[in-house]
Amino acid sequence: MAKVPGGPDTELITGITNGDVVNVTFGAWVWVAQCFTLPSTHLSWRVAVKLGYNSVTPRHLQYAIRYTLAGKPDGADMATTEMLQARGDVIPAGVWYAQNFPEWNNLGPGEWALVVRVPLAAVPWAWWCRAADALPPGITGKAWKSTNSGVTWTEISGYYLLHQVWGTPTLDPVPPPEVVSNWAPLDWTHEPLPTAYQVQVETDAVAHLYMRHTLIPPRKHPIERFRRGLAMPWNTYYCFVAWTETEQEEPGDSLEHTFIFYDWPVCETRYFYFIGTKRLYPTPSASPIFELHRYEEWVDPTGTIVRLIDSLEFDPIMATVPQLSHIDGNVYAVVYQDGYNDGWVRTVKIDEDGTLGPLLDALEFDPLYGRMPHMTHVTVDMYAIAYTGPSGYGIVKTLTIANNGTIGPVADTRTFHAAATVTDPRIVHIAGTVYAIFYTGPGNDGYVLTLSIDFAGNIGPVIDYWEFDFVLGLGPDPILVGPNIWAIAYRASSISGAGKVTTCRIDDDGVITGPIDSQVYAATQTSVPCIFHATGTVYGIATGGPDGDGWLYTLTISDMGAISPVIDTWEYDPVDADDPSVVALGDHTYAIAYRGPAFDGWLRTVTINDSGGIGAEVDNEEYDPTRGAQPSMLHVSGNVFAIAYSGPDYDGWLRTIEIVSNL
Amino acid sequence: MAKLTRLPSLAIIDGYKGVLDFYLCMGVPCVRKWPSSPGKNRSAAVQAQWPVFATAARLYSQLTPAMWQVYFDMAKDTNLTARDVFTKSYIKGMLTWYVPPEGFPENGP
Repeated sequence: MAKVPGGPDTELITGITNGDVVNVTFGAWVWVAQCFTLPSTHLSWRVAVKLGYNSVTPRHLQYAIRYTLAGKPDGADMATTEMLQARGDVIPAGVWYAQNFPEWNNLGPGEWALVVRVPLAAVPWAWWCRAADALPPGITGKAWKSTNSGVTWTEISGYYLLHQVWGTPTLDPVPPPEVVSNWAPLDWTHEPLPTAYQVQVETDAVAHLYMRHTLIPPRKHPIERFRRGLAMPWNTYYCFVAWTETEQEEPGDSLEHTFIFYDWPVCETRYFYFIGTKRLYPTPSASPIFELHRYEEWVDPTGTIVRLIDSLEFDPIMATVPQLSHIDGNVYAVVYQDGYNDGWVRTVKIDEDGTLGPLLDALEFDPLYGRMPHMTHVTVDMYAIAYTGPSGYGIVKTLTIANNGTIGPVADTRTFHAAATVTDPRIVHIAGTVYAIFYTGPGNDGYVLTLSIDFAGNIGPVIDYWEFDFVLGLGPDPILVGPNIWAIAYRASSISGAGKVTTCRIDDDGVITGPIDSQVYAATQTSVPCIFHATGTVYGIATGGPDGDGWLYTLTISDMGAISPVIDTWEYDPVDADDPSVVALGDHTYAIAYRGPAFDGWLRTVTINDSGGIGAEVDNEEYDPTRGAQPSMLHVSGNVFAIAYSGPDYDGWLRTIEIVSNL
Repeated sequence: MAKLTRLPSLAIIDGYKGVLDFYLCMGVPCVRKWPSSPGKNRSAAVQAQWPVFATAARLYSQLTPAMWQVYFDMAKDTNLTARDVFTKSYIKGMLTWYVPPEGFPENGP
């Protein structure tokens, strides 16, 4: 270290002297501080800060040293310099201002804060410290600013005040602080971790705790004393022996204290108590003796994505907008459009353990044009597929799929909307032989109509229809919310316009009445939405939001169709998300499969409570790191889920995944 | 305090109730001024402990049931209450100062 010119026994202990790039203003009641770390005990004598000011009015500068707590200035001054009147000229570029303390300050190892202030100044902005935008190697400590004369501090993120601390190392012990603080544990918890066992304690005051633990049960020795000839209960001695000491995980002093044990086997009882320090000094308090028997093994929480089980390419040429449906037993069907926009349906076997294959059967149900197909079960082995057919008309077909996966010929075909630009049809069963199709129709308006399909697959004429949005109704996703009451989530007003949900009534005879209620849940929606039932009257809507990011919204929809404002939101992908597909996992947990950044396929799990509050993300996994677009996810069995999606090279892919669920 | 050759009769002792305190110390009859609380007239060292006691009293009511159970279990089968254990732990700890006396029975009295 370099010697200070003015004294042979002092040297530069620490500081930041290079990288002068920016001003950090301060003044009257606005103070600044720079934290610095000492590796061992030092006597400090002089500090210097590079600063400037733009007023010729005389004023007084003062430096102070303070304790820190979690890297932030804390409490009152530990030492202060005298008020030094600055020079009466304007110094815009800044100069090094050094001041001496009236006596040597014994600074122990750890982090300290150098506070800079001009309490007699008239304005809070006429002074500034010069600051660097990077820390030199080996130097730590953040810069802080207080706008209330040092009561509370806010970090100056990304900048560090130029400063110097001069002094000399010492081996003298650090004197204890005058005020000794006690603490008490107010609460404690314990839980297994995947490879360890964790104990957490909450105290009323900040402290740094050490756990003393043993396997030997403590003994109690009640003691009596004789007073005036009478035996009086006096005290109790506790024998706590053969203990090992473990330090808390959190650095510095804290309110929460975590202890993690990697060697605590199941069915072992340990006894422990805590002692503590505050600002590195021992405190007189101690905790009671805890007794803890470890019962539990670690169990992955619901929503944990365990592994990718199997994958199968069901169309090696091209497949987009696939929809995966369960047929019977281990037989599933995928309807999709191929590279020529033809409509296809394939059946495939998915075992309960997630093993995929073989492919069972395939049928090109529309060799001319079969875009965006959506299938629903009619009865026994009869299925109906609604899609965008030739000329962009809305078409519905029926066909049979046997329980063994054999696909029969098309039974019947009917054009349900003979006008171009029918897109995104969703066909659902209403009652008896009545079915409804929600779709985007001419002018990109939102439509819903009803028609009948009998058990033999004969498709009747349209019974009723309703235009649920005259402006725009893109990508409608319907869900049954009450007896004959349906909610439709869709994109309204423009391509990246508002996300809206509307409710309507569809009677058993196919008569449509609406709207009952409507609600805008997102000002900007950049993806087709996926609405799903969470719990009670709470529903979730996963979609794309501003900048194409992934957003999840919750709201309530009563069984009469009344819609509440949004309850909670969560940005499940801050980069990019499209085409979400959601399945429930049980225990208020849900999985969202979607096309994420760089067209990769992503899967995230999250919890939603009974009130609609969205909890923290449970887990995430990339189900296809190359391409995973337009996923359609389904529960197979137990913890096994399947996703059909448009994968690498736009080929059709199936993937099974193990997710911890309670289904 | 003064030593007496013998204790007065019970009627005399009762007559001085609140004024004089008669008692036996190691079999020696004694009399002293009736004990009374000094109130707030305490030494600076004692007064310095008041905030700690006040804080301990306040914190005891803030314990969660799980934490209270730990104090209760520690006080079980002893001559202390859970509040005693809490207060002693908070003020100076229950274990850190203790050195078993020589010849102390291992299984307790």
